[in-house]
Amino acid sequence: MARSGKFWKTESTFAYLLLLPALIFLIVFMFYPIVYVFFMSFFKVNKLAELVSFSGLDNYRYMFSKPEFWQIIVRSCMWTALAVAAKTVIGLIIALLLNVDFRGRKIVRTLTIIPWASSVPISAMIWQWTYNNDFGLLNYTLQSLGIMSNPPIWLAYPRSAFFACLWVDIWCGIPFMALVFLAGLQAIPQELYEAAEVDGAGSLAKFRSVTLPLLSGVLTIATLLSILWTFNDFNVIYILTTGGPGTSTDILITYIYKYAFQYLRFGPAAAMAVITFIILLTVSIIYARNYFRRGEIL
Amino acid sequence: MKKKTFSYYLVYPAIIFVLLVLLFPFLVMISTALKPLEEVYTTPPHWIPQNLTLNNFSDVWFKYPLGTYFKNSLIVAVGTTVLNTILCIPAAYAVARLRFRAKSFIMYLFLIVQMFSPVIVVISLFKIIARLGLLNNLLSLIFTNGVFTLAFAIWLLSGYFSSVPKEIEEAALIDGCSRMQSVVRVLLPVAMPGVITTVIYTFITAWNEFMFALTFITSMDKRPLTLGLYNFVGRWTVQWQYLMAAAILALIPVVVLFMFIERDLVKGLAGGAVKG
Amino acid sequence: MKRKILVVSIILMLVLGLSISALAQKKVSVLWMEYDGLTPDYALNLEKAFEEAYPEIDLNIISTPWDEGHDRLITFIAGGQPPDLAVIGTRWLLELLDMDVVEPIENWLSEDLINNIDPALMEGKIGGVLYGLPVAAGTRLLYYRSDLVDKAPETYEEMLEMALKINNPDQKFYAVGMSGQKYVELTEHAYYLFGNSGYYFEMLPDGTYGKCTVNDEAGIGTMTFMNDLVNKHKVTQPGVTAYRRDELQDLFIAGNLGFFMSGGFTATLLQQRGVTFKWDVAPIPHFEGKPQSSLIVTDSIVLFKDSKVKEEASKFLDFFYSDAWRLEFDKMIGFPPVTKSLADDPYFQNPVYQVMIEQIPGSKGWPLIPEWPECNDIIWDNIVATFLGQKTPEQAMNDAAQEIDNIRGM
Repeated sequence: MARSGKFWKTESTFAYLLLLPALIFLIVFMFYPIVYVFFMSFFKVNKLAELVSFSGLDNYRYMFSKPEFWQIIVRSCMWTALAVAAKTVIGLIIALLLNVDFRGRKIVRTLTIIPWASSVPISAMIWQWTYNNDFGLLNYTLQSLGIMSNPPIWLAYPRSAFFACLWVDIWCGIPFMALVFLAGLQAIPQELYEAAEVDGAGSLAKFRSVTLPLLSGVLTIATLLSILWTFNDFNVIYILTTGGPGTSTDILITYIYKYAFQYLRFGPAAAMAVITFIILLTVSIIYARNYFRRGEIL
Repeated sequence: MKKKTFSYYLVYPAIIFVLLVLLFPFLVMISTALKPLEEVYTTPPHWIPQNLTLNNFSDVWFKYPLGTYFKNSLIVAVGTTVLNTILCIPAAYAVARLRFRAKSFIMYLFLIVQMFSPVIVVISLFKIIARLGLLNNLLSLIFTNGVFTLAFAIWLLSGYFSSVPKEIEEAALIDGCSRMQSVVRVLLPVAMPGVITTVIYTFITAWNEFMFALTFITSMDKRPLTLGLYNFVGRWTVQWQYLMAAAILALIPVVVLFMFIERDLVKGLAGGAVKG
Repeated sequence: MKRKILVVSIILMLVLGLSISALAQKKVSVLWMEYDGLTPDYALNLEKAFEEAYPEIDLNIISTPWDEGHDRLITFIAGGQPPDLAVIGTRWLLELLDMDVVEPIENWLSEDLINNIDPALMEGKIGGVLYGLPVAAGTRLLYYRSDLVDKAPETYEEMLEMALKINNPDQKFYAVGMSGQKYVELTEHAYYLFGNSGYYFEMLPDGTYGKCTVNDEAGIGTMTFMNDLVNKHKVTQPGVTAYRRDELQDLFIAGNLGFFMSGGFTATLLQQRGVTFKWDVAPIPHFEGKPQSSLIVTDSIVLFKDSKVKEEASKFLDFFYSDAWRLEFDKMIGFPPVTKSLADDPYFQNPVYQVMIEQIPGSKGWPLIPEWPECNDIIWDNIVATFLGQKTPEQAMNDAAQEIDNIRGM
């Protein structure tokens, strides 16, 4: 690339200048809160969330001494993996459907966005009402259509409650995924499919050799962010079950909330937040390294 | 034109199935919102209200300051969107077009914010907002929502910018444009769908935000809609018919916005990450 | 590039400019809870009327949904911005005392006001010092279908007998309502436990709370009885672990429950929704041979130490506790009056209020210990484990007691 030498010298300065406003914002609002979380996790913290005395790893030890804590970490990971996988697959299927040129496509696309268009706490409440065994329309409909003769009382039992919460999280996240993928699909040049057809590829082969590779960039960004959001999705579970029955639907973030705001044990809550951070950072690095390596940005 | 094959006709049943599943709770909302109070609690429930009524809609609109809530939500959502766009376009441009050492570090930095749920940082953020004198000020929501939407916006936009061939801009530079002009006149129009994508993402996120609104807004007349909907959720009872009616009204601005920019959005949502 | 710098400086200036906001009037802020039935207008009118009476004071009522109230108050306090006054559930008071943020409110109340409060409702009196001024207080009631049973059961054994007769799950009619989803309050468990002369903690002679006693004879007996209702006699609604108290209330109002225990607000709702069946209220039952005892829940107003406008806050309390404002407030929230001057008001001379008032002498409140929220959850988890058949009542209550004593270092 032929550019003047002066430009090269100032290029990185210029880049930092462009990034400065966003970074200032980030630092003004997030530097202190995040650093403070780290501090709290290594300190004895009073009920006012003030640091009292350095306590090393006590807060971490306290959490890990609880037999259910490992269970909750495992459940959080399972919750995230299942939800993100389902959102991705269902989102992709819907995107493929919406990519077909049929009449009424514009209306269908607009309708698809509706689950995303209401806030998660409100969506969770709507689902709570839908799941209601007496007045809710879900079980009534399942029964009257003969899909399930005796549907469970969804939120009453550990397993069904977990899947009921999981579904609500998935439901909230589908539209975002579907639209991101749809956009990705539309950016794939038609010629590539035609070339594959000439080579005699069937629909499945076309999907594997053309669609998936070209979608992988989108897949990376969307699933990575979805993992971060899903792992920290507090509203769905908290509103539907408060982590119950018992602690059977608690995940890390609902636990953090309980420890911080109800039990006022900010130290252990901060320790759990740091554990969450470590888990998510690890996942992100593995993920994003792949992204950077593919040279999308650099 | 492609010929319409058998599988083309399979699309309709599939679409109908998908819509039924996705919109099921929405149908529940409509059904409940159209029922008079005494029909809300019947066992077994029924889909079609026997005495269809629009009273719930007029009640929530006239008995509660829903108009004020709408106005506040719009201010927050539009404000966040404008702020976010101003911050993210230059930042994303730098990441996509310029070479500097800390690039991946800075990209991770934006991502790290997403790893801390608002639940964890809300008390510290509250202190900052109080220090800045922004309590009970809609600006507090604009700023915090702005921070929490930075990551996706910058990641997406930079991907988008980098997919636009550099040569277009270089040609403009040679024609005597300044760098600024080349960005505004050449790069942005080409990458417009990406910009619109971040706009709708930011708008929806800010429109739906609840936790910060609950914490930073203290007076009734500054409440955004998400918080206002909690008027119908009490300690002993939830007024379902009102909650549903108000929630349906709250959907309208988002759906209208989406309908207006759907075509660009679909082209743009993630197109940037796919290098054609 | 220059423009970027400009943008940055504009934002910075904006932020700085807004931070320097001048204060003129004396500001009194009140964290206010949105009781069911209390219209948003009430708070707005109260604010307006007070400011007209005291133009030198700027009253700021921070209205909050009840279920978010506690967590919001915590954020305000931990964020260094406590309000001047706050409406709280009295059970939070110990937490606040632990944080050392509340002022003895008795030092700031006018003589007239303090003398006008029913002393039996002063749950917010800790170690002889009044920290919380009662704002609402109510015992819980038994609601029953007077068209299905001749008279209200006095004992739980009687209730079970009647329940077995009227239970009809095929018609979606369930005799006894039981909530089993974890909640900030232990609801049914307290009603049954107190009726069995049980309590959550051993009360030590010095007035402090000793070891957890949910696993004593009364505690295990209570849990066994509750579990039998659910799993042996099956007279409750199915899937109890999915129900919160508001969902039970809906079920009773829809006519699908025979017996249901709740607060006074349910009566207001039953009247509002114009139900067609006959219902009545009675004192909470008790076990045979044990004295009657209901749960009493009080909410209080606390004054914060950091407040710089305590005099003004006290003026507000005088204003709010005047008969006209209190009467409207009490009517809307459906609790009997806390002020003596309203006790004889004709509005409160109906069975619902009378039963609530009659029960006060023998009633008990929630334990006043700072760790109560955590204990509450532990007990809930074990109740749920019993209902789900994962633990026997004895096992569950032993586990709960042990874990609670552990947390409290007993």
